[in-house]
Amino acid sequence: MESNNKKINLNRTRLAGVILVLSLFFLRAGYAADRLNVVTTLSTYADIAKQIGKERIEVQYIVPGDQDAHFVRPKPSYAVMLSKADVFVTTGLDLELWVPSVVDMSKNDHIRSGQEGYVAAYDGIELLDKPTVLSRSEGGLHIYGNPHITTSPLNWKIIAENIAIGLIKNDPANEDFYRQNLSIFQKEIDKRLFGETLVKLMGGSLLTKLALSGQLIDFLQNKSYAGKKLIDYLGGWLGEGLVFRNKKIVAYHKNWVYFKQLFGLDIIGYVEPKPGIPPSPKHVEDLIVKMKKNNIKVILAANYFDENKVRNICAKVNAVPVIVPIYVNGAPGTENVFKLADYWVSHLKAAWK
Amino acid sequence: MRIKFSFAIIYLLALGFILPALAQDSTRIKELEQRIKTLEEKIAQNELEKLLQEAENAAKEKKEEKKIKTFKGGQRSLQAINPEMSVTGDMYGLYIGNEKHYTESLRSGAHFRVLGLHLQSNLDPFSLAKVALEFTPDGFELGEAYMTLTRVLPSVSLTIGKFRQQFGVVNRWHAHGLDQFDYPLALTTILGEDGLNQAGLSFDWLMPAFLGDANSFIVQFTNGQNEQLFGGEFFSFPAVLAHFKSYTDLTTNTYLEFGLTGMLGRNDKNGYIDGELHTEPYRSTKLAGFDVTLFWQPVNKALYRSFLWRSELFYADKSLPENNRITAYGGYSYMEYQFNERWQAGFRFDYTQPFTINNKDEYLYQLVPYITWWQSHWVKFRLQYNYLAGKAMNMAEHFIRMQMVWAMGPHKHERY
Repeated sequence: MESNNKKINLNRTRLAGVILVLSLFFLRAGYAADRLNVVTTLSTYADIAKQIGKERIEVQYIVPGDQDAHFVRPKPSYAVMLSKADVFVTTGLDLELWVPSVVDMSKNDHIRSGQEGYVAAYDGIELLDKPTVLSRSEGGLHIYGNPHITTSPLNWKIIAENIAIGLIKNDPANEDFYRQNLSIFQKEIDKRLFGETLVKLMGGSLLTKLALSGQLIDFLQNKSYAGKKLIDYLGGWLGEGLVFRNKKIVAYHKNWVYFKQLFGLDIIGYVEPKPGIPPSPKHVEDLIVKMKKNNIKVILAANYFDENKVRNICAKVNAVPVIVPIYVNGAPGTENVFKLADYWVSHLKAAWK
Repeated sequence: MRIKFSFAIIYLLALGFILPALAQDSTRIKELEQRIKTLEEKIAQNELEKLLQEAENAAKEKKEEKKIKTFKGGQRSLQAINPEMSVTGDMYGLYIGNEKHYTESLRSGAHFRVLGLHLQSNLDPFSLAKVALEFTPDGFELGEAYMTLTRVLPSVSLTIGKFRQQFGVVNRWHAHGLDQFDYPLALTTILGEDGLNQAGLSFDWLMPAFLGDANSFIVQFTNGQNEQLFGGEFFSFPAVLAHFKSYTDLTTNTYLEFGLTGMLGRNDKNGYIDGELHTEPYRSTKLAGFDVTLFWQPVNKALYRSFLWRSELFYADKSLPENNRITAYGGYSYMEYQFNERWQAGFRFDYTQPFTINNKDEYLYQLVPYITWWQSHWVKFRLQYNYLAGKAMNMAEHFIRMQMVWAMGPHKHERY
């Protein structure tokens, strides 16, 4: 009899355990089902999406932060990822040319170009480097303009807005939540880009307009307020970046054009003779001559390029290699967009010390 | 005493007048100070407002361009919605180390293998189409032409047209996109010189992954147009192909993929040719294949380093008249390593039985070392040596090829 009771108790305990596990499973499943499944091409888009969607979304990205987004193989595991996506964020230009293949493989029509689940991050960004001549003699040509839009914090604000629109379209019930987070994110960018004092004085939106028109630094240098030049109020990344403003540098590839515009760098040459064309010994030789002539002290390169090549050239002209990740999570200490911009600015500053 | 009293009175009276006046002055001073502060704030506010206005103006400055508008219509300039078009060229120089091949079809010298014209476009929100036209010195050939309905069932797409079939991996590719100059010997020997490329339907199902990270299942119903395997010009009955693929990301940098293929079709001749009716009893051709690929590429140096190992096995069983049959098997295995942005080198080993009756003790093998140099993503050169020998031939053959492949326009391969 006692043995039977023990058995019954044991069975009840097991049953309770099973019910508990099942409940947790269904709770978790229900919780996950409530959240939007967002897939992005770049890790930077994933971070921005997470800052807008927070706990209401699940985010995955395809391109790790230290990979060249041009050269990604359309693997079946990405197709599986996309097959379950509610929202897909991609640049929308000719950066990720492999995207249509993966979307085709995913059989998920909801995330095709033009559909509700598709977000083109570039929309609204004034693209630079629009080619005047469409010819492969220019190397890896980007017919719509330079697609490396993630190298400017100003663009992050627009990208965030596009992502918010995508989230709202797919989860309209939480529109206020997404809009509020968007506003917080954009204000944080303003604060970190221009510094708190200047933002309080002039407002982030006006400063953004000035920066986008290329007039910001001239304006701040020429105008005064309360007996002080406005430039003295400039803080944040741009304030720190005054150290390298107008400095001449060499870059590996044309992927810093938006950063260059915002921070006022003068890129006088590239390690690649043309975008996407491997540097020949002759080109490298010419570049070294040019660097010596212009007293170039820095080569800026994304960390997925040939570091040895950059270091060798630097060694020959006594320059500093600034090799940094171009996307979030591309190196330790770049876990979000704020840290990524900190990383860029601090590494460039250090090069001129 | 009186005088003192008078002074006290006067003092008190004076206090009575002066103190209120003093208090009034102090209030007045405070008021004045407040007014000054307010005025200062107002000036600062005005200064700031002026500044902000100037900033607004400065921000607008760049955009202001005064132009007299010219109005244009675009009804006859819609070329932007033409299909995406690209052209590929595939040429080679050949040296044959064996006199017997100084024939019309195979001579040492310069050869243009194929000029490919590739078109692709979305057709509507639900479908897309791809066309590959091949121009060779011998004439024109329709390489591929198909439309794909991107989702006919959940996770299922449907392709309709003429296409290179998913028998293993390499059969699906165009010649100019191969890792070596030529298709593996086993593929061309067993599946036919141009591989399997037939018209029909292809259902492609991205299955729920149960083996590895991604599984897919492809079923293709096509004409039996392949002369070597099926009815050829007498095709009347569909051939059916099924392909299962399992893909696994072993690490961020490495993946392993394997596939199984089975195919069944008829090779009996039934129908009219030149007014004459041919009727033959049912004869089948059965095919099987296995493929495996291991690929390593460090993601942060994807431009510079990679290693690939790929192998495939092919088996065919074709019934012939008078109870004859051909069974043949073969396969290949190759490894390729990328040294830097420009250079890749590899080695392929081919082995196959000839596709003939009574081939039990016969075989062919081929050793294929090669090196590829990328001038850019659109131009590459390849030097390849083929050593072909085996019991099925009298003497070994040597081929050295220098191949040049180029692509005009937005041509891109969708391999992984």
